[in-house]
Parts: sequence; C-alpha cells; structure tokens
Amino acid sequence: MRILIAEDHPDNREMLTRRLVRRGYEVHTAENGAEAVAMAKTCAPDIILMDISMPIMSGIEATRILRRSPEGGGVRIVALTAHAMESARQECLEAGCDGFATKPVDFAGLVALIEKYAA
Amino acid sequence: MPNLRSALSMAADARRRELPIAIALTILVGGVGAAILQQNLAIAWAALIAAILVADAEIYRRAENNELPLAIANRLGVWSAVIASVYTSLPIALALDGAGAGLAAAMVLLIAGAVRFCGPGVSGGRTIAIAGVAPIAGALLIIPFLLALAGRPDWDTAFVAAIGGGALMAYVLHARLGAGRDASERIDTLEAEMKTRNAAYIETLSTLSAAREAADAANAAKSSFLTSMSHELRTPLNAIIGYAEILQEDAEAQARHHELQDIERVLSAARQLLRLINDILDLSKIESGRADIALADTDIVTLIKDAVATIGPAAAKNGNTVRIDIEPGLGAIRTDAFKLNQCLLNLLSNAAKFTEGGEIVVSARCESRGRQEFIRIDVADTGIGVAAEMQEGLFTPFSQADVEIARRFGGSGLGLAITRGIMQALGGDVSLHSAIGQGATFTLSLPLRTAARPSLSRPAAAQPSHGLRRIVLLIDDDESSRDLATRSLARIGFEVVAASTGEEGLTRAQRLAPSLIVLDLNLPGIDGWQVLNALSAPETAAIPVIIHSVEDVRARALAAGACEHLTKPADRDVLAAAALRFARADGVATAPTASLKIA
Repeated sequence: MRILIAEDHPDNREMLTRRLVRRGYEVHTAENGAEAVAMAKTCAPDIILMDISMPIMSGIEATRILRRSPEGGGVRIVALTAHAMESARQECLEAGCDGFATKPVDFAGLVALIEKYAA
Repeated sequence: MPNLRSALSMAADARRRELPIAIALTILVGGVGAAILQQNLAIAWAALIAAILVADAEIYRRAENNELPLAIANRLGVWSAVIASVYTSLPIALALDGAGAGLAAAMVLLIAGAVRFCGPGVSGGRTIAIAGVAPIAGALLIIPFLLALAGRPDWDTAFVAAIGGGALMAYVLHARLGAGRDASERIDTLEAEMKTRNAAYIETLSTLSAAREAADAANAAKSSFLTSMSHELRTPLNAIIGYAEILQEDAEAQARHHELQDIERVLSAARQLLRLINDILDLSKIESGRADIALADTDIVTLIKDAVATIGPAAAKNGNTVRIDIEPGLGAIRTDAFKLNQCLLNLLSNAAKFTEGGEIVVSARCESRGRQEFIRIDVADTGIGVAAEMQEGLFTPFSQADVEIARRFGGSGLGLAITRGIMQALGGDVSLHSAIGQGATFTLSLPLRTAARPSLSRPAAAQPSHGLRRIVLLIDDDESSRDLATRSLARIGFEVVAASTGEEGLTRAQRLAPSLIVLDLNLPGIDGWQVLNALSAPETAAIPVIIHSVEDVRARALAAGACEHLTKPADRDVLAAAALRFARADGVATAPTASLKIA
C-alpha cells in the first residue's frame, strides 16, 4: 500500500508520515500541489492524502489535473484540510476527491478509510 | 402641516361661500358707477371683476387640494395685488370724473375693498392681505394729486376722504394683521419646525441604512474572519494532537505510565480547544443563517438511545444514573438527525456535569399545542438547578449562570446558545424549567410534521407550482419590520399583504383567508392578543398564526392558539422556514367569501 502525502506544513507532514510508516505503509511526500502531480506519475501511489491550502498549487487544482490525466484517473484522493465548512467539502468532492477529512485528523478514522480503499 | 392647510382651506371656503354675494355686489357697484359716470367703463369693470372673482375662487380651490403648480402657489400675493389694482380702476375713474358724488363713491369703494382684502378668512395669509391692501392705499393717496393734475383740485373733500379712508384702513390693517400675526407666526414656526423635523427624519433614515450596511459588512467580515481563524487554529492543533498521540503510543508500548498521564493531559486540553473552535464556528454559521440543515426521516427512539449511550461514561463518572422514558409508538420524524443529536448531547452533558449522585431522565412524547403537533424531549436532572433570573441568559453565547459556576464547572457557555440556534433552525426551540437546588429540566420541542426542506439555499424550489399564490398576512405596526418580513417571505414565493393595525388585520384576514398570519403583539388600538382571540372565530379559526414579537411569551402564545412564536427580530431564514412549515397549502382556494374565488 503506497501513500502519497501532499502537505506544506512541515510538522504535519512529518507527523503523518511517521504515524503511517509505523502502521506499515509505504509513504512518499510532496510539499505542494505541483509536486504531488509530478510524484503521482513517478511513484504511482494507491492513495493521495491531499492538503487543500498549499503554495504554488492548491490541492483542489492538483486534484483536477490528476483527474484529467491518464495516470491520475484511478488513484484514491482523500482531502485533508483544516477548512471545516460544508462548502469546503463540496468543493473537494466536486474537484474529484474520493474522501474528505478535517484537521486535526482523527487518525483511527483515517486508517479505517485507507483500509477500506485498500480492500 | 395641518395649520398651513387650514389657513388655505379657510380662504378657499370663504371664497366659495361669498362668491354669489360678491358677484351681486360687483354688478350693483357697476350699475351705480355707470349711472354716475354716464359711460360703459363701469359695466366693463364689473364684468372683469366678476370673472376675476370666479378665477380667484378656482385658484384657491386648487391650492387647497394641492393641484396648483408650485410657480403659482408661491405667487398668490402677486395675484392678490393684480386683483386689487384692477379693482381700484373704477374708484379712480369715479373720483376723476364724477364730481362730488363720484368722489364719495370712490372713497366708499376703496375702503370696502380694503376691508374685503383683510376680511377674516378671505385673505389666506399675511402676505396676501398686504399685497391686496397696498394698491388700494396707493389709490387713496394718489387721488387728490390726480384731481389737481386734472385741473380741478378739490382739496377739502380729498383731504377729508384721504384722512378718513387712511385711518379706517389703518384700523382694518391693524385689527386684521394684529390678530393674524400670532396665527401667522405660529404657522411660520410650525412650518420651520416641520422642515427641521423632516430634515432630521431623512438624516436618521440615511444614518440607519448606513448603519445597517455597516452591520451587514461587519457580520460578513466576522464570518470570514472566523472561518480563516478556524483554519489557522486547526493547522497547529493537528500537529499538537498528532505528535501527542505518537508519544502516547510510544509511552503505552514502553509502559511509561508516568509520562502517559502527562501526555493524556496535553491531549485532553488540545481536544477541548478543538471543541471550542468547532462551537464558535457552529455559532457563527447559525448567526449568519448558514446552519446547513439537512432533513431526513429520523428514528427518534434510536437517536435518543445512541445519545444516552454516548453520554453514559460522563454520567457515570459523577455517580449519576440515566433512565430513558419514551412514549410507546413514537416513530420517525423528518429532521436533521446530526443537528438534533448535537442538541441532545449538549443537554445530556450539561445534566451529567451539574448533577452528582443523582438521576438523569430523558423522556420523549408527542403533544399537540394549538394547531400543531410536537415531539417533546425532556432532559431532567436532579442537579444544582438554575435560578429563575439566570435562566434566559443561559441561552446567550458565552454566558453561564454566574462566575462561581463558570469557575467550578468550566465550559465555554456556548452549548445552549448553539442548541437554541439549531432548534430554531429546525423549526422548534429549547426551553428550561428549573429552580435552585431542585434540578433542571431542559425541553427540546420539534414540529412533528415538517414541510419540505426549509430551502435555505434554493428559495425558488419553495414556490407553489400550481400557479396559485399563497398569501401571508402580516400584522405589524412597525414599517421597517414589516418591510424585512415581507422581503423574507416574498423571497420564498409568498404573496405578502400587510396590515398596520389589529382592526385592519382582522378585516383582511376575513376577506383574504390567507394561508398564514404573522402577528406582532404590540399593536396600537386592539393588541395582538385580542387579534389572536378574535381570529378564533369560525371563519378564520383554520388560519395558522405565527406570533412574531419582542416579548418572550412563547408558552402563552402557543396556549392562546398560535402555532409558533418567534422572537423578534427573527432571522430571515428562521421566519421563512416557519412560514413554509405552517402555511396552509390551500390558502386562497378555500376562501369563504364568494367574491374571492380567484381559482
């Protein structure tokens, strides 16, 4: 199970990486949307955990690009954002995300979601 | 305004009344003048004056009815001077041509003219009187000189006539203007005051509208601030909770119990902070009318049992037992289960927090109030209770019963404000029955039959599709709140008819048979309670009534037959949702009066 974390905040990126590695996942990281799009092609992840507010390219835009590209059609994308409004969820799902979770992330719930997609 | 009006009205009235006599006198004077002068000039004069009198009466009639162009209305004095000048032509001719008898007649006519122009009621105002008298005074003074120019000076007669006439005119002027001055001044003062008030009124209106725009802008700014603030707080909180959980896992794995306790304190504090952020965000959404209500069929029994199970550990920690008492047969209702659960959990966690070694009873039953059926959920505890004077304040954001309570029990004081906001958005409300030391019972009430989704985001969907417009009758004496409510209701497709008094409202209710009445309580004349009572007459009894009042008299309003009580000013969407829920679908079609068979 290969997971790509796209997250600009270094502590949050590092924290999530450590916790997922501990659970036995193969984790790659990207610092913004553009990097995530590029890495989605090189490392072919099963799941992308996509932050939304990122510099250079937002998670929304990255998701849209990935959904239009041949490599990004099948990957599961879960939006992970500190935007808690209902409108944020709508925007993410419309851009092509499969799931949506707010930060602070409920880690047990996130792992359950990942396992559901893995099955 | 009424005083100015009445001066004009009096003048117009006098002219109407005196017109026939004035014309008859004019003809008589014309005849006498013709006899003295031995020529037709006097007849022509009489005809001209008669025409002028008719025109004068017409001008004042129009002035009274506000039909006169402003250019003329402002120059009634000039008109008065023209009449007087034409009038003096005959006396002057008589004085010059008519020897002794002519001169005497001229004097009489001039003085009579002066009296007429100053006569009570006729003048219409001080300026007009002076403008009328001035040409006559001029004629009196000029006649002796004209006689001298004509080469037959009659100084004695002229002198006596001028003195006598002048004195009489001075007396008339004095009497008339002296008495009129007070009234004129009062009218001037009133007019000035009126202008000042008008200006102040217009200024107040524009200030108010500017203040409203500023408040709307401030509200929007607050919402956007809270949204971005929530994001900025969540991001570091994500790292805090995440790393604390990593440490927690490590400590658990290595059995470092001492550290584990500290880590759990960090986690507990971080989660408390997160709850607070969520609450503030919720409250901001409710206040801005974006409560994201999603209605679905909800099994009320399951919902209550789940909530009680969730709160079980917290209740047990304080030594409390929780009991459920649900009326048999209570089934599904259409509501927002997530939001209702949030409210129920708020009440349950309060009960668990403020009760020690006691009992918490959650009971639910169906009850009808007035014309509506409600689901009523009571959360009763045996805890510390709330003093009567503190009860209403509890539902205000950030307020708790008192400082001592806040210190002892903690909490943000947002839970009940959120609960009330959510319940009202769901078409219900939350209320409290309690006394110090005797426990507290919080009651959630929800309408059993809820109309289609209270289309907060899609107003067009609420429009009746069968082309028959539903009428809402709005009875409220305050123009601005009528305006607000009208806009809120018109937006979702209602035809709004307004009435500003109870009497008018009752008449309209009978005639229109509206789908719904929104009634203010504080009305001039017969008040809202009397209106509500009168509406229970057979022909109007079926019309649902929503009370919209600043008075917090929900229980009394519902007992008196209202189907809902909204505290004024109700949020736009709350009013709209309530109207959609309670309005009769068949409105106009069932109008009892034959004249209104629109369909």
